[in-house]
Amino acid sequence: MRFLTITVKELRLWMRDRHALFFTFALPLLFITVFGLAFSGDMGKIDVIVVQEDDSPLADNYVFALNVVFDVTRADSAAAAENDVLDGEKVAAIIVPEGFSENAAPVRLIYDETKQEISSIVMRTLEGVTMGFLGQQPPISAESVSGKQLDPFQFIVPGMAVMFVLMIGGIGGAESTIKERDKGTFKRNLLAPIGRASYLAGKLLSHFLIGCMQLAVFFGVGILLFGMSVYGSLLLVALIGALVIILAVGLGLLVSSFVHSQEGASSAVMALVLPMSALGGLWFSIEMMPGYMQSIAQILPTYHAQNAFTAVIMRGKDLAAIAPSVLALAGFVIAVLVAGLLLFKWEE
Amino acid sequence: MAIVEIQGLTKVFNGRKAVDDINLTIEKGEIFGLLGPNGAGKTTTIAMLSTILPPTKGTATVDGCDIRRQPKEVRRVIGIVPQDVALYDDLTAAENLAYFGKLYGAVGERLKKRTDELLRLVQLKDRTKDRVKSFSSGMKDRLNLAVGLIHEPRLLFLDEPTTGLDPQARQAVWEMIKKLQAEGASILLTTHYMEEADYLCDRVAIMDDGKIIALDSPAVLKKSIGKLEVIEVKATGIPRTLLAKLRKLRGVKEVVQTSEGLRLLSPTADAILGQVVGLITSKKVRIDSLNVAQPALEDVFIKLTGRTLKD
Repeated sequence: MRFLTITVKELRLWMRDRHALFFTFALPLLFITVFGLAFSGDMGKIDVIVVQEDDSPLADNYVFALNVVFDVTRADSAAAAENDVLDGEKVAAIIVPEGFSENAAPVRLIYDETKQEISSIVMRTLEGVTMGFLGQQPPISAESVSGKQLDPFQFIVPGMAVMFVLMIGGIGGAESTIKERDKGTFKRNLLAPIGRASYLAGKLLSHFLIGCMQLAVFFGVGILLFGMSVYGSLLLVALIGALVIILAVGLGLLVSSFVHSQEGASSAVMALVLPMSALGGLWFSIEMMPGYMQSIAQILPTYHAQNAFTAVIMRGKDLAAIAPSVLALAGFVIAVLVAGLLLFKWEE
Repeated sequence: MAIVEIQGLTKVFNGRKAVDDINLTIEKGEIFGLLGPNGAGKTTTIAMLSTILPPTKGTATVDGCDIRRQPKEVRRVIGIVPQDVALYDDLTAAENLAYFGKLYGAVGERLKKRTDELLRLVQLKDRTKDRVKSFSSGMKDRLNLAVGLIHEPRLLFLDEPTTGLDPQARQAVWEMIKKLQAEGASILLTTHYMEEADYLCDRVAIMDDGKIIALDSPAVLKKSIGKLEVIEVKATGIPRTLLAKLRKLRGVKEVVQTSEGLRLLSPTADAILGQVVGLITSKKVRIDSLNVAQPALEDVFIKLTGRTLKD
């Protein structure tokens, strides 16, 4: 059991590194808090300008309807409204022209194409309101599927957890080996009568435990402080978490065999993990991306981790339902770990 | 009784023989010196003996254990003090010792006692609970040595133990090595300081280009070069042509340029002194000092190879 000596030493060194502790716990918690709170509550109405040129009662009612869905500011002339949009003060201007009530002139929408996402929301909302108002479409009857409240923490906590476990496991694991090589302690360890397997087992176990502490803290804070509900089994959450942690540990091992400086290790891990996090849907749901990007996302381990996590946390799915993502994730874990072990350099 | 027996040990790197078929026996309780210039194969030999580098051919036993077949047993017997300090900066002196002690299987009271003992030996008792990063380089060197001793090795490898130390610190390390020998350890020491080998070693092997070119006690080796005396000349700016001229002088066996000036080996040093001075001054070289001395180990190497150790 001499590998435990190595594990204890690694953990002791880690706990004495305040910088590492900050990145392991404080920074991710800050992200979880900020993003979780930012996405909480009502989205708020979008500010638009309305210019009413038709003063029939019908137009009055139409503008009243717009008032329900938008935060409306009135303007007197279409030219002034257009200027405000051009200056970026408002996203869009809606002109209700003379002849609107006689169906002689269409409603005009002036929008800012540099604010594409919001503009398109305004456009579709306006289409809906207008069609409904003119009686061409029945009013919508909306029913939520799960009957459960949307809680952004159910998305943010696993997302940030996956990202920071991969980042810390990758950087921490690679750096500790690189530092040992620089300091000569790597050779000194190998000169002791312990096997190579014990050496690696001791190191990897310490980084696995750090990952476990991270997940426990992130989910603990999410559940206890922010009241995040987990509808599915916590055991399943732990299983997915364990796979993510082993993936992170394997990543650290792999990076340490290619990169020879501590700075290089953190750059390499960031260059891998940050795009994988964005594309894999750890920051926002991948449905917001174009179709081909969504296809790319599905070949990333981050996507499968987040997919499995949210299925269990938000929808209470069981193991059978998340099996494809869990298997995909396990495949990545095995590939990275085996590559890391095979490519590990035992020479100085 | 032998602690190390080396038979036909060879290491080839990219077709070059770094260590070329060496045979050697080191007795228990001996301080054995491995001398030679950089690249002679000393470090490669030590690396093979410490089981971290597999030999190309041949083998060796350490305390009866084969370095190829019983690497773990060999590692338990040997203690290695690397030339560069290899410690954990964020662990304390005691934690560094305890960590490496545990890797060697030491536990509990025995480990604690040994840690205390070593901290006292290297005069770090009052810094036990301080992290290594707060240590001076001299203190790190001493702790580095102590870590190599934590598992009470029967054979200690010291790689250039005094390189970069000032004369006072060097003397302190020498005393410590003598003390370890008195406690029963066998020591294999590599160095390129001849006076170090001369002072410490019971026997020395001189290595050059992967081979052992001489092996005996320092006294016998010095005698082996015959009744030679050494003329040491301290001077700067010596032209190459002067060396050639001096070499042709009757009664001069060997001339080499050193970092300080010249070293001439001659059986009749007093008789040729005048001619030597004449030749040097004729080249407009100013002599800072001149000295006739008994040969040192360095001169054995010069006699054997025609080069100094720094070449």
